[in-house]
Amino acid sequence: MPKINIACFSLLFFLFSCYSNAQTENKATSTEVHSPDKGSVFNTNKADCISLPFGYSDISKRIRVDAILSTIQDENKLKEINALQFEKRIKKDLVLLPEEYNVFLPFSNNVNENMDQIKIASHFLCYGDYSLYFMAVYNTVRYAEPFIEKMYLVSTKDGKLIDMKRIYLNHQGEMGFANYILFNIDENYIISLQDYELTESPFQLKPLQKYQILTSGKFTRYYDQDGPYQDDDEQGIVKNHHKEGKWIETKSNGSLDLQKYPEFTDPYTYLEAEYKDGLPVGTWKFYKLFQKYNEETGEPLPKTRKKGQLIYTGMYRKGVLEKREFY
Amino acid sequence: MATRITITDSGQTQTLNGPLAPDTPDNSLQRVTEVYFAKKTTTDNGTRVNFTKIDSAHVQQDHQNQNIPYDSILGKTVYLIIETSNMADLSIDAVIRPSASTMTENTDPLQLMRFVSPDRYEAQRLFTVQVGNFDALNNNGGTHDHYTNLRADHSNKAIIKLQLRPDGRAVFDDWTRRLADNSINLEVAVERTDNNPCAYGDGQEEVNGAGIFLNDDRGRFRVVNKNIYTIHHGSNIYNTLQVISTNPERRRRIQKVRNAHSTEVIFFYYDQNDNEHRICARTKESVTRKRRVNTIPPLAQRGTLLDTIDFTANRAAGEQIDAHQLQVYSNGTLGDGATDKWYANQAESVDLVNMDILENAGVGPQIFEAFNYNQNGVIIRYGFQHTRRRSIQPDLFAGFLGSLAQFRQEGHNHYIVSQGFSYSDASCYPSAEHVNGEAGDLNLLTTQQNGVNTILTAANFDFDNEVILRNILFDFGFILGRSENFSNASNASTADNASTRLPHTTHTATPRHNNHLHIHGFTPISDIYA
Repeated sequence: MPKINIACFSLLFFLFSCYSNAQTENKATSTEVHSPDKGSVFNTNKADCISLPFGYSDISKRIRVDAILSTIQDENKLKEINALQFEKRIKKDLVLLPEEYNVFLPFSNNVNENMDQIKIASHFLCYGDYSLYFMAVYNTVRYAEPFIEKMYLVSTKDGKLIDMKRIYLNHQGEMGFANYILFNIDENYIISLQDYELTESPFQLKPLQKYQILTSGKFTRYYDQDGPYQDDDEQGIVKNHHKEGKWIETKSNGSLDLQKYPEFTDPYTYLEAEYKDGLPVGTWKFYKLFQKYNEETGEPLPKTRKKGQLIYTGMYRKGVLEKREFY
Repeated sequence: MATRITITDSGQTQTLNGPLAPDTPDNSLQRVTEVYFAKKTTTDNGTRVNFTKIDSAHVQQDHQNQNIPYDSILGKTVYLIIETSNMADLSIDAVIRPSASTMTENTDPLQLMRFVSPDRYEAQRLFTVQVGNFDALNNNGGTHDHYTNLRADHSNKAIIKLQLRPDGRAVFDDWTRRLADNSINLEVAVERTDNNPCAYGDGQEEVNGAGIFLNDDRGRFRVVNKNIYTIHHGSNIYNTLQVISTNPERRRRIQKVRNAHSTEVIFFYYDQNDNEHRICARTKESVTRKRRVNTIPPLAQRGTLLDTIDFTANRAAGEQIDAHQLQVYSNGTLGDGATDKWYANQAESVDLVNMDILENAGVGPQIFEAFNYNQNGVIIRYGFQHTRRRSIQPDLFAGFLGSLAQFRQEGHNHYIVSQGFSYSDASCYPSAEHVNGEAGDLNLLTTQQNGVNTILTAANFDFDNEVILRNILFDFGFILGRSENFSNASNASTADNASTRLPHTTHTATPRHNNHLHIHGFTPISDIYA
């Protein structure tokens, strides 16, 4: 059975830590592309910390398509985002951090730095010992003028990269198929993300998802209520607003390469996960999820879901994936 | 010694030894000097008309200036011109017959469809026409007075307008089946209706009987099998197709001649002055119709994997194609992308043509120019960007070509760029509506006119010209469209300052339609035998 060792991530952190610690005072505003052996791209001037709340404060109230579109197209909001001053162009591998397994269009394999300019903003979010930087990925090929297609919040401490969370998406696909994510960061540093998918299927508003920055600097899901939680995609216990103990998650899995499994008709997995204080721990087991679809809308039918064969496992320690093993 | 061929009253040909030919013909004789097939050409904004010979001695050229190895096509409309001297107002009979029995199993004169009035073609075998009569040049209002040079330049001509086809579809199909990939030469025999003698060609005496033309290597009229689309500019007053609305009068703009024994399709455009332009030729492919279904069959039920079309290189180069690859199975096509889609084969088939005529190689986010026709005042230029869905039904392609030609002829110079129609197998990942080459997306027009895309609310969106283009597309058959409600106070157009929407579109935000004009619902084009 093939095994994938992810020691490369550790090496990347180490390299980044070395160069960023050495040059933390550089506040260049050039658009030069930086590589890890050049000066720091992260501004450390606390005067440039933004105030909260920041983002789309009323996303939870926008439930109809036309209201959502007007929010997405709100020029004033776009100006606020651009006022973060995305000035420093970087290379992709500078912040190649792992994302959640169910992320659609993940940074690691869906950002083409030759076409998609990646820039770090000068203005950033200060959170205790942590600095959270806004990183934008520009689409330079669809229109004459580039636009921000993706925006990430990159968590750092003392110049060391810790975690990354995509907070904004403006993906314009073929024939108008579009995916958007709007964000809001409130005064308590709770990050709300609202995901929209506009396809030929009838529009369905997805649940608002919240994230919190942990004392470790990592992002984790935040739930308003403690106790048992269940929706169409996941179920488990919430403790102190975070996932705790065993969870069952039935989601699309970006790590499932359908080319290797031509017999599968979708990339969904049935995951037996374990969390401690909101972070992955122990051995996660990813099984194939079999399910049927609504013939009209194409949406999966939760009641038809069945656990299939074991595909791979992931071993976590303190939230960090140490080993992945495919079966 | 000159050799003269004539036809007896019984229809037999005879070769006669004529008198020694002098250096110059006798100009005092009543004479049919030339008989030829022609296409009409006009100058001076359509006020002067002339005829251009079409035969093997006057070879036509395609859009790439390559010689075309035939002169006309079964079903096509042509003019038969009989030039005379000293025969003013006389009546002439003409018959057209094949030089070999390939097509009709004999060489008898053909019964063909003759233009007799703006709303009627009549099946005739013997064409009787008067020298100096110009009824064949009547427009759809029944007049030809707008031509100012008829008396001066054409009073010696007898003119017949006809379609190279029989009256019925069954006979036409018989002809085309027998002709197959061959060509047939058509000859013309003429004689005075009053049966009095006249001279033919450079003959030195007036003779009884018919004169035969286009029967030797000085010029042959070669006819072949092809599918034809005849596309008319909206202001073409020679368009005699069906009236679909009145006040103002609107007619169908396109007609086709379906040929069951050819896969070649030739698109002809008749401009506002009725000049004929041979736009392009395409090969149609019969493809199994597709329908997107939301349940992907397991591998065992997909049939044989026939082809895999991979877009990895395209995507890596910046082409924003959603499909990672297409897996074409014998039972359907799997579109492999962020969310896989299955396009199930249907029972019927559909004809598709490849719109990418130039077939520029390479991958990337740039606009791939697909066609650039620029001849005799007609410009049709379009390209593709961020798509490999470049197949379309021939009917829609005819409407697309006509729309672009008219848009340009009306003075709008925008580079038209498409975001795609269907893949060549009739699928259209990830959409359901773009299957079978029946819907397409166009970049919105900008004031820069360079084809680069924009959105409805951008400062460079050229709303005024987008409205004109949408209306023209509608008139050419794209009845339905999709766009979004919007307002735009930042662009040069003022008509969109308040909330509005492009004409002939429905507001559709799922999926988004703020960065392209979606056209579909094309009115099927009638066959000439319909």
